[in-house]
Amino acid sequence: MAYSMEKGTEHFRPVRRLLVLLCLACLFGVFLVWRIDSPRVERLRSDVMDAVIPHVTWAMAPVTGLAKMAEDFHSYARLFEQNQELRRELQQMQAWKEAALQLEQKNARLLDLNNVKLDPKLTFVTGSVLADSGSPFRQSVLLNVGARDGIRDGWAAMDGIGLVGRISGVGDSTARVMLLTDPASAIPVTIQPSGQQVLLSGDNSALPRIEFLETPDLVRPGDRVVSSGDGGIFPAGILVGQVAKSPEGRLRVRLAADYGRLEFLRVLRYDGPEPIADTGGLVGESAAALLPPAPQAQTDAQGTGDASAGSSGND
Amino acid sequence: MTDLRLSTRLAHWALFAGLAALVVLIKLLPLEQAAGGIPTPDLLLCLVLAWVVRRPDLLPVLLIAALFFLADMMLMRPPGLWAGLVVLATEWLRRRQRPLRAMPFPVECAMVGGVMTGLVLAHWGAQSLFFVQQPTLGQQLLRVPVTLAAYPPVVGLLHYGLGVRKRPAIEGFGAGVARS
Repeated sequence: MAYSMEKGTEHFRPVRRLLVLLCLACLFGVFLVWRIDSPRVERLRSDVMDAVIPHVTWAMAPVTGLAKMAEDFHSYARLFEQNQELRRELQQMQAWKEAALQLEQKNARLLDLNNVKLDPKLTFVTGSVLADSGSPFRQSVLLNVGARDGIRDGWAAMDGIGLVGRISGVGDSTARVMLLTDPASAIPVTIQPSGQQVLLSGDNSALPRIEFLETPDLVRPGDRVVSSGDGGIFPAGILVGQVAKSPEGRLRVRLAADYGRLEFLRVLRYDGPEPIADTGGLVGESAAALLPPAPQAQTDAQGTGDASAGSSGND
Repeated sequence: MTDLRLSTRLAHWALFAGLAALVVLIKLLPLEQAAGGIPTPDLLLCLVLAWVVRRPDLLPVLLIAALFFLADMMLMRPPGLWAGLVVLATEWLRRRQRPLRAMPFPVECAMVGGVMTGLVLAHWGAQSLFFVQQPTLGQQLLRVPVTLAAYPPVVGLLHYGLGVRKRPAIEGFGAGVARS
């Protein structure tokens, strides 16, 4: 019986070969099209995700829940240790809390003095994480908010504490967040006390690299890293993390956001700084119109100079 | 092929598609967002290779192409490239179906390992040819042994759990006819 099966395929061999070739041509063709016109195919990709993922969340939710429970259960094993650790941390935190409260009061007073308004435009949309990239070489997560909720490409996403990544790819009801650890991610940041502008670029490791640092001597491990707002991509001043030194001596950033548990992310609405369209009346036509013609201006200036000198002398 | 019932074949296609969908969905679960560490095995590749070595007649090439293309789309790979390479690899294995049938398991494992390495190298080569941004070759090759380690369990599942087994090797009288 097994032998007759082989013979049956002989008739179809040329047809089948054609089919395989056609299939290969289609697949490699799509790859080429993607290489040439990436945005169109990427839109198709986000449409596919948009069509599939919201329909299978009901199936994924219990599995995710179970896995998380298993993880939590695993941590029961170290309960005593953890308890001790937490107690110690709590003690430290209490000291910090006291300091923070004092600082907060001071800050409030200073802000009051200054009459500073914090940016009211920075509102956010919160989304929950549906899926991750599924590949060990791509670091991204999928959120359950999309174009329907007004999400746009390029907006910053953060968890409660620090920056997590930026929106890259928006479907109708899903949006993909490229994490800071993704090899394609590069954002401008400032290292806090020294104020140096550097680029933070991911490389598939947990700690992204610092690049284009001008004077490494001014940077120490533990320095705060915040987003700089250069290029108008992100709002400035979002906490990113702390500088850390890797064993081979490279400067990297330990991210403040908890990448182990990304469940809910905030997407910041931000349309970039307002572009400066005119010269503000300092130079150009309007300023030139205010001034008298050039040769006369000099004599005028001298005259007024004399006059003012005279008047000051009189007084 | 005609004496295999349509319902049997359809059932196997559905089984394969279901398993593939399960693997992709499990990969998409938001469990491990932390970067770095040991890469996870490519179970989908294990599954398709193990199946093609065992019962290529129950796995049409179009199904492989469609599923891998969808997986490419969902797992953020360059669309079409990996799918095309996997189709090529399965075709290559299909051609060698008869020698594979008589092969002991360790030799088969080695052969599958070779195919996986070839696939990763070809994938890397094609991507560098087209200047696609990609992780280093070392990182990608590191995934091969991990994936190969997952191959025996997948084979075990197919063999004992789902009854996808190799057909007996052709010996003696029929051998010459079948090989010609």
